[in-house]
This record gives sequence, structure tokens and C-alpha cells, in this order.
Amino acid sequence: MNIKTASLSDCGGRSINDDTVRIRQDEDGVCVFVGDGLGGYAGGGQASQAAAEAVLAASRRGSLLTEERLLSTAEQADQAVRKLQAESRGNMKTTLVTLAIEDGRARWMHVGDSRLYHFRDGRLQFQTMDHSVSQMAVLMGEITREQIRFHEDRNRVLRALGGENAKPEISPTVMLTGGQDAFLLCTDGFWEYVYEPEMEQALRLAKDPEDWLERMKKLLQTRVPEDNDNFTAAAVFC
Amino acid sequence: MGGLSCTKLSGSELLLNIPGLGGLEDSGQTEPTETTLPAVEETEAWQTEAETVTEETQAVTEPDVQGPAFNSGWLYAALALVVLLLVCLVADTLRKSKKRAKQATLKQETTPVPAGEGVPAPEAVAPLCVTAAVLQGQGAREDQQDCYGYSEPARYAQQGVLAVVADGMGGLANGSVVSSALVRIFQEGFQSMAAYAQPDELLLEMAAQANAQINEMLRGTPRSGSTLVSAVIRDGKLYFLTVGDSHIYLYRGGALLQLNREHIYQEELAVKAINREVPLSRVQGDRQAHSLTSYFGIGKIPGLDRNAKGIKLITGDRILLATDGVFGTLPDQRLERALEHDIGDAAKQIEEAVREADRPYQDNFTGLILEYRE
Repeated sequence: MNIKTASLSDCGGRSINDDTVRIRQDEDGVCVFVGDGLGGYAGGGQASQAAAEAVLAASRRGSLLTEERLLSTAEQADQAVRKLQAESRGNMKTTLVTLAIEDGRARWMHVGDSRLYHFRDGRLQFQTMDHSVSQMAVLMGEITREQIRFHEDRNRVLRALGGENAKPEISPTVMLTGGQDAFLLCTDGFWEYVYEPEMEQALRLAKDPEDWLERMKKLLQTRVPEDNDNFTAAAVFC
Repeated sequence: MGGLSCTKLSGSELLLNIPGLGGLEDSGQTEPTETTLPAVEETEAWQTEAETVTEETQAVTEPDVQGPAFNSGWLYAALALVVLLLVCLVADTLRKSKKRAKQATLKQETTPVPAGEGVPAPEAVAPLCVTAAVLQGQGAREDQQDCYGYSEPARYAQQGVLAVVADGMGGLANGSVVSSALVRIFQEGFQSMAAYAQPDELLLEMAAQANAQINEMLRGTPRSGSTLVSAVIRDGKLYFLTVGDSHIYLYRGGALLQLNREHIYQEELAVKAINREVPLSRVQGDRQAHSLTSYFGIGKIPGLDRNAKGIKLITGDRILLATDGVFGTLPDQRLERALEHDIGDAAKQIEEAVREADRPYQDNFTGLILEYRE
């Protein structure tokens, strides 16, 4: 299976980038991590990095395609963040979204409001639901999913590694046969400024994952205010 | 100023406005009276109105024709009532969108932007590279099924300029629904993709999206359709994509040059003729020679015309997008004479010339003139 990947991470209008993106690819498949560090004083960035290391280490040890393994990986990442909290007496946390592709099958999990989007043949198939107050408002019919972007409580995350609730939401296993699949993993600083139909549009024009990310980044940059959040994205074509 | 307009002329002017793209005033006016709120100038988080998908169109009525002298009392009372209702509607919309900036979205929605609302501080005073002027009329037809639109010329440096003209088919139901959908889809696609797409791929992608959406929209309804002339000017080059028999011309050095070929049966007859399948006389003489062979709404579009490489423009070039109501009535020399003038005057002259020709079955006519200066 020919898998191509690309990533970008930008501090936006902030002085520090607390997001982390890591991609590990070998002959068996791919493991992608994206995390958005929370909590002040640069601790957020350390938290997302610690979680990334833990996830990639777990992916080296064996398949991540079972629910068991994904749960334990999330737990290890959570432990890594808590260790950091203890050592530095801080309260840093991080979101997590992780994609594993092996032997033509894909599976993912997430904690928080960083997202995974799955496209097939250029059309959006699936996007994760945020663990956030705004998503709750969507579920209660108060706002639409698109309107999460403008919701007052947009930044209130209900689950995070290192937080009270670090439980991951795990996807079913998805077979990647037939069409062209594309995945986009991103932090909220990214999805806030790019609409889903525009992701599809850019995907149709894109030659490869890097081209896709570049196009969306250009679009984002025409829209962001001066002090925009860090934005990070990883793209996979397979 | 950018604009979308499908103008209905029936005693009062109804203008359909796309929020964030501004409204369009008379032909000949090149200074904006309403402008968009470009995304770059937002200070709040980028916002939009993401409401339900059903299209809401509300018209801003600007009566420009005096009512009859008799019964004026009742007429004024009725007008006052209509104006009052509209004021209430507008106030309601304003209240709802108080915290939100107006910007074109990918969803179908149009709400009125009354004149003067949402005008940002004027941008830097550099002369505009591209300016636009429009002319339009209903002719002798019962309604206006032509539609046009263009993006904000002031944003040429950031994204280029898009111009679109579409001739909806009268005689088929829903002609204006298709032409206005085409213009809207191109406008909206341009807003997002101009940031990162090359003009030629941008035009193709928007045509593909429009084709899919229009076919979806027309499923199960009687046959309907629209032509398309679309053009993007960016970095001093012109790109166009056309389907149907409307025209795009380049006017340079006093001469008008038609850039596109028409998708009409005559072209197929010409091919048959060179294969000796039909006699040459049929090419000119066939009664069906001018029927359309390609248009949006046909289903699978059999042909389009475009330039893959941009045409390099020079200062003073004018681009004219026109429906057949214009060139079917006025010969090229007449258009050339008009285009010698400032484009605002040129648009007025062309419009007057069509009206003066007073053809008994005058079709809807629309002309969109762009002028380029380096």
C-alpha cells in the first residue's frame, strides 16, 4: 500500500507553539500523532511532546489496531503527562488524536478537540466529535457542528490527557480497499479556519498530502486574526 | 464592490444580494457604494452565518419608476406599507447578525445588505488594476433570466478578479434558477479557492462543482439550463471558461476579438461537412444551426471552451462578457465604437443602443466589461 504523508505546525500569532505532530512510517504502515498542549507557561508544549513520544513508542512495540492496544497506549500517554505534572508541579495537559494504518486497515482514537477527518474519493466520510462543551451544545441541538467555530465556550475541553477525564474515544476498524482514502488530523487552531467543504475542494485539487496542506494553510492565512492560535495538521493519502 | 445580480425590471428594481459581496448599482458606476468585509480585515474570530441549507432570498426593493399620476394616494399608502415591512425585515436581520460579520459562505443563503450597511473603512488609495461596469436589460421577454456577478476588484492584488455571466434558458422552466445558481457557486468557490488555486484549475473545479449541484438541483424537474461565461484575471493574465453560446471578447487597440467558440449545432454540422456527411450548405442554412449543444443543466456536459495558458493583458485592455441579447442585436463595430469610451460610458452606450434597436423579440441582454491597467 502506497502511503504518503505530510505535516505542518505553526505557532500562528502566539509566541510559543504548544502543538506537536509526529509521524512514524515503516513498511507495515503508519502511525500519526497530533496533540494540542494546554496549560500555561510552555508546559502545554511539553505535555503534547511527552504524549507523542509515548504513542510512537507504543506503536513500535506492536500493532495498534486493537481496542486493547489503543486503550493502553492512551493510558501510557496519559501517564507520561502526569509524570510531567508531578515533576514540574504544573497542570499541563494535552489533547490527542492518533491514527494507525496497518495492512490496509485503519483505526484511530482521540481525546479532546483535536480532530480526525476521513475522506474517500474526495468526499468527507467521517469526522470525530470533539470532547468539548461546544460539541455538547451541538448534541443538544442548540448549534450546528459548523457553528462550533463561533461558540462562546469553544475552548472548553471536557477530556484531556493529564486531566480528570482522559478516556479516549476509539474508532471501529476501517478497511482501506478500493477508493482513494485521505486523512486529516488537526488541532483546533487549524479546523477553526477551514470549512469541511473547503477541505474537500482543496483535496480535489491536491497532487499530494503536502500540496493539500499547503492549500488549506494559504486559505487559513487569509482569514486568521493577528493573535491566532497555534495550528497543526497531518495529512495521509493511501 | 463585487456583486451578483439577476435584475428583474417590472416597475421597480429587485436586486438579489449576496452578503459579503456587496450590491451592485447601475451600469456605469465604477466606484463602490457598498463593499464587502474582506476576511483579512476581521478582528473577531472568522465568522459566518451558517444557517439551514434552504435558500432564503429577500429582495431590497428600490422603486425607481414613478407610479401613475392618478390614484396616487392609495399607491403611496401601499408603497409606504411595503417599505415599512421591508424595514422591519431588515431590522430583524440586523439584530440577528449583530455579532456576526457578513461574509459569503459555502451554504446557500442570501440576506439583504441594505445600502450603507457594513461599509468598512476605505482601503489604500492605490488605483485599481481592474475596474468593472455592467449593463443589463430584459428586452421583450417576460422576465430576466440572465445573471451576472463579479468579485471585488479592490482585492485584485490578493486574489485576482472573477467575472461571470450566465444566460438562463427562457422557454425552459427554471432558467433563472440555473443561471443564478451558476453565478453564486462561482462566486463562493472563488472566495475560498482563490487563496491557493491557479486560475485555470480554479475555473475547472468551480465548473465541476456547479455541474454536480445543478444536476442535483434539476433532478426530476423539467429540462432547464444556462450558458456560462466565466473569467479570472490574475497577475496580469486572463483565463476563461465558457459553455454555451454567450461570448467573451478581448478589446484591444480598437478591435474586438471574440475569444471563445459557441457550443451550437452549427459546429457539429461543420465537422460533418468536412467528412462529407452533409452538404456545406447545411452548415449555414440548417434551421437548427444555432441551437445549443452544450450548457449547464444538460446533464453530462459534452463540451467546454477555455484557454489553458493565460492571455497576457496590457494596460487599456477591456474584456467584455456578453449574452446573445447584446451581440445578436448589435454588430461588432457598434460594440467597438462604444468601447472606445470609458467603460462606464461604454456600458451605457451599449445598453441604449440595444434599446434603440427596438427588436420585436429582443432577448434578455447582459454585458459585463472589465478594464485592465497595470
